[in-house]
Amino acid sequence: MNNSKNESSGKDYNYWRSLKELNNNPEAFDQKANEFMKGVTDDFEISGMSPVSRRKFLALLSASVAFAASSCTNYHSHGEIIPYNKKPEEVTPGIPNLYASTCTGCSNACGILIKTREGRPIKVDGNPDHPVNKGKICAIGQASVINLYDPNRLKTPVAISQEGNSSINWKTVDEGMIAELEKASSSGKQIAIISGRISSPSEKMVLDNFIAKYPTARVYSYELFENGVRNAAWNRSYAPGSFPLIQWDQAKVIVSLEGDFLANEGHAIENIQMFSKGRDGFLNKDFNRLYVVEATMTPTGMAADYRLRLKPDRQLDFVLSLMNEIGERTKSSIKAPSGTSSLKDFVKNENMLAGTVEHLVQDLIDNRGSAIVYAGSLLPEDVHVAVNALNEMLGNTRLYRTDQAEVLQIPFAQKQDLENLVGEMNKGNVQVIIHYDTNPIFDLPQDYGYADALKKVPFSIAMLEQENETSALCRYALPISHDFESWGDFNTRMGIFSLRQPVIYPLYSTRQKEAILLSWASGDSKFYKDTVYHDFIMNNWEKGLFASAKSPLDFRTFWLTALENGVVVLPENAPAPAGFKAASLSEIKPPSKAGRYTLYLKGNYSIGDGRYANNGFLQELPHPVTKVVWDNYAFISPKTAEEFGLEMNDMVEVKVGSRKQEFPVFIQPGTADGAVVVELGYGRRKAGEVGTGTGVNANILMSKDAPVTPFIYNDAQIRKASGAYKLVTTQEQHTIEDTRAKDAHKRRGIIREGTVDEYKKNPGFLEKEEREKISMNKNPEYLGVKWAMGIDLNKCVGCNACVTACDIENNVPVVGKEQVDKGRIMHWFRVDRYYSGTAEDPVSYTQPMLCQHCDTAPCENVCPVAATTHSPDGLNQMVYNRCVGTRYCSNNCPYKVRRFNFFNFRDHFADGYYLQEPVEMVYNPEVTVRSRGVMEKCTFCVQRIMQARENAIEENRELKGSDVQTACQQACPSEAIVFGDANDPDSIISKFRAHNLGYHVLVDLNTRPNITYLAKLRNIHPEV
Amino acid sequence: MKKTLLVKKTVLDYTLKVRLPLTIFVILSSIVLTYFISRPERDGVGYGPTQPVNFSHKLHAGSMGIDCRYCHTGADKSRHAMIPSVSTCMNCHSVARKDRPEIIKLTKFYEDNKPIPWKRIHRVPDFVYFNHSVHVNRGIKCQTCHGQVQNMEVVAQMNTFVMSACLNCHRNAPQMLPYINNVKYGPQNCFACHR
Amino acid sequence: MPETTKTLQRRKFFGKLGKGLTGLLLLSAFPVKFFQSEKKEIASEKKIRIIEHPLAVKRNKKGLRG
Repeated sequence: MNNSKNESSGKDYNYWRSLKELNNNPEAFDQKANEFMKGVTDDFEISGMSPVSRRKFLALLSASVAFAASSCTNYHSHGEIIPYNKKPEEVTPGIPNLYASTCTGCSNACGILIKTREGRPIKVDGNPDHPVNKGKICAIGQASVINLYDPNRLKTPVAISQEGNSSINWKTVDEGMIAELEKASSSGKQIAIISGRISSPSEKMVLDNFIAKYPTARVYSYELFENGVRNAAWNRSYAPGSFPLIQWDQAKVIVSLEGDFLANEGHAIENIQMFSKGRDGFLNKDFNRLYVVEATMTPTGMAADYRLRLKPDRQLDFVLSLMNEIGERTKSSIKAPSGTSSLKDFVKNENMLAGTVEHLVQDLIDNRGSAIVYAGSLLPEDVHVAVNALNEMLGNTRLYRTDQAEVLQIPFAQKQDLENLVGEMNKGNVQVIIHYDTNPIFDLPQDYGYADALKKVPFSIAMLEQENETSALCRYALPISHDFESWGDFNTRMGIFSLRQPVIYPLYSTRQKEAILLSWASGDSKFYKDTVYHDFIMNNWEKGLFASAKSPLDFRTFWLTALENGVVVLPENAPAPAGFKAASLSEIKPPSKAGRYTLYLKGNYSIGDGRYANNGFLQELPHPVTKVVWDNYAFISPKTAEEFGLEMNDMVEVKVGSRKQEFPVFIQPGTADGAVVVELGYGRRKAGEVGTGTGVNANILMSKDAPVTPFIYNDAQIRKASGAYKLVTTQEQHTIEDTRAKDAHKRRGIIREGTVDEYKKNPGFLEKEEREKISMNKNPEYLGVKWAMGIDLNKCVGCNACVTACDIENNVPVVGKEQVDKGRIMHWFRVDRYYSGTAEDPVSYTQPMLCQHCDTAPCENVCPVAATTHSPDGLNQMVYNRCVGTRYCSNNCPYKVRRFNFFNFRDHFADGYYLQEPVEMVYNPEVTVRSRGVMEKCTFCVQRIMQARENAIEENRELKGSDVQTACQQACPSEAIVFGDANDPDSIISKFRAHNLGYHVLVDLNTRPNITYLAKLRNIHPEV
Repeated sequence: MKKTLLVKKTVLDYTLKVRLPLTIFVILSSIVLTYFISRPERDGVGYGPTQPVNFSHKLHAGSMGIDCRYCHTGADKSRHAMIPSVSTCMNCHSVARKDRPEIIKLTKFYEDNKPIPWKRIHRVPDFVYFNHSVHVNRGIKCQTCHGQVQNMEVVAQMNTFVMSACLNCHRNAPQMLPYINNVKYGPQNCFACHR
Repeated sequence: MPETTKTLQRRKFFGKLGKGLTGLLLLSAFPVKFFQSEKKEIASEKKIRIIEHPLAVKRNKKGLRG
């Protein structure tokens, strides 16, 4: 309509859009009346339209989404619970089973107890019934449970070729091998078996059977680190046989020349146990005195009362000049060979501490018959002969054990034998080579030419758990079962026979290496059964051991009891001691001309001779001295480093003859000037995901024809190399001279020390701090049990068994080098190492550090969500499900023992290593596996406390402090750690807390920690 | 002439009379509905699913009087009470009622070497380390927490297992467990259950 | 200078882009797994079988601290 009137203004406006409208054409009005133009709505006939309007459609859409969402989840469901089909009789879910077995981590064959949960081995501890290791096991043994679940294990036999490996089955292997062996044997060609140390009498019989069947077979047994040199020297000095064991606990004075007997040499666990009897804070026994003369700092050197630095090639001269001096003073009949220098001249030439040497000489003389001089196994034979003579001169032979001796089942192959073997291989006279769980391509010095010779052998196989450098050059790689899946018996000590039993059925298609040889020795490809080696051992025992044991039991009971105990001890008489051959001294060759720099290659403290390179736990174990993880390096003294302008993380090139290699530099206080020390076993080319490429290969510097020994090269050339390499340590390396850091541990009361003399004269010399300080926190009353721990610093040698035991028990993740660099290592328990004194001759301290479970913990009152609280039995509780990851608690902790999970190390970290199938089986089901964003720390093994409480309730008695052993306490070989009920006045922990030497770390912060340390006493002469 | 009062309908009127009650009703009903609908998911009370094999506790534990611990052997020994394995059932059912369809189903499981996938009813989160043997050995009856199982044809959850329920019993042990003499109070610190 | 159509168009574009990205970010936080059906994992054939060795002899003696 025409709105010709605008009402408000009264004016007359006429609006029109077209001429038609203006002319009041009725067509225009029609158009206005219709909303749409004609024809537009034709397609939208109501009858043709969908019955669902837009509104309805949207409503239906939202409703269906809601329904779909709610029906897709079955959120009522709690999952399923799956019991057994046929429950094995021994398994009660929730209760662990213990099995006695033997560890073959090294050649010491310690007795172990394997703890299994629902059939899965999860923890290894020492067997208390074994008379040698007495319930303790080292870090390598603790971590051996990881090797079982290693994802890089070979699962089936493989044929190796350039294109890749192809799986074959055992039937093909058996048939092929037996045919090949018979062919070789009948044509007179040699069958070489390259094995490690044979410690098992039954295994020896298997090899004998094999040789009986194939007469051209020969066994070459070698180990990178063994006592061959020591035994050869013993042969020269006394009689054929092995070097006797030493009664370390009866020794008042011990002089160790490069002998790392507390960490690496001989039976380290036994040595630590015996040595620490004379290092008792309670003075149950008089303190012994330890002198160590070595090239670089070692755990034994850290425990020493007096320490001298000397290059290893100079040790012979040192011993001879000692003999001169002592012989003169004691008018002994045994004389050092002529031409050796006097001690005074030697000490002056070598820049040794004259005062200390004088004490050494005087102590040896004063304690004749109760002292021992011990030479390290890597020193040359002449040094051992000289040391034997020195001990004989001083009457120290009294300390050689007669109740026990080492037993070697098969003598080691000598250099000559190996050279002959390589010669035969090159000539084509060796038809078959069987690598019996060994890796000679990596271990043996390169100038044997083994790798090239191996290529000429027509049929070479390797029997191993994981592929390595040797198997890469063989035709077949046969997977062998892990320790925990195998049978065995071991005899490394006179009269002590320990058994190894499988606790789990082989996870993969593997066979025991002894069983493989047995089946081939039978000549019948269908001979193999799962129980073939088990029956063989039983048979041997029945005929041999059982017969000589004259036991009143029948054999079956005897056998089952032996398996339950794990060890059988038969009294055996040691060979009568032979007389000393004085002529041995005259055979000593004069020491060779010393070059300026000596390269010393020695063993490492975590991965054996390199065979455990793929074990992440051992790689991440901090080195006991340097606290470096994941690498090896060259130890260089500060003076030598200055000479070449080297600093930490620089690279140094070491050249010996025509061989050279570049190593990262580690400036180690306490290294002899001119000595370069490198650890062997690293830099492997083929060792699984974790081990390949970790560290630098120092094995290539070895030579079989070295003038001194394959481990000592006194003509090394050093040069600064280009580049830098970041070494990652868990403990900051301040220079010792830095005034801010110098002796901080003493000023702040972290380490408190004294001397034995001081303590004897004045037991209260430590002037313990007053504990009655005011605190704004109410000190809670502890009724019932109050858990506390004590650590005797005199006994701790820094062996790291406790750290590994804690890791395995508490599912602590391995984080890798990058994260450790950022300070994110996850070890709950760490061993701190402090130096004091000068950079040349430092004094070292090792201190285990873990959550102190403080009574007035600074971490507890700052948590915004109360995730960490205090329990009524004295523990500082950490509740993972409540933690939101503020990290205020770690900020507040003065001991810095709280570890934060910056990543989900379990599931989504980096390469997802932990997600691979068997790795997860190692977790302890009683301990939560932490996820990202959660703080964790030592819990005093609360799962063990709860288990003990459960046992006590089941037996209807009260829980006692002695019922619980924490993982670290159980693992410590020297019993440095004690744990128990502080409210019980008779417990040993109460005695620790009341001890005159007992102190707490950082006590002035009023945190009231519950770990009492006993101050470290050095047994040094009172300085006039 | 009658004068009618015209009440002006303001916005406030409308809000108070219509929208406010409506809003309050919607909020209240959604809270109440969510509370009850989510109860099974929150604390599981009432959840009684059908199991793969129609095992009746009423028959075995009730009428026949078999002790709980004959089958649930771990109850007084370890942390887990354990569902019995098929071999435990076959102890009797290799002979008893062999012809019944459920037993035939059971025997098939046994012969196929497959475990029975029971639907789990009583469950606490993984970060709670509940220990059965401690409770059973102190004399607490199974029925206290699991209800009168011996009268159930199909097992359903009778009690809530939220933490407040556990703490309630721990804190008021004498009232909650009158049939035990000298009952000790349960631990109330975190580490008792949350390691 | 007064805003041209182009300027307004650009502003709108980036506004839409920003809102879209924010929406995607929020959407990515949607708990998809919560609505998925549960996977059945009874004794899948691929897994490693843990079998206790039948001939192993358990240690029954309760020595020091069991």
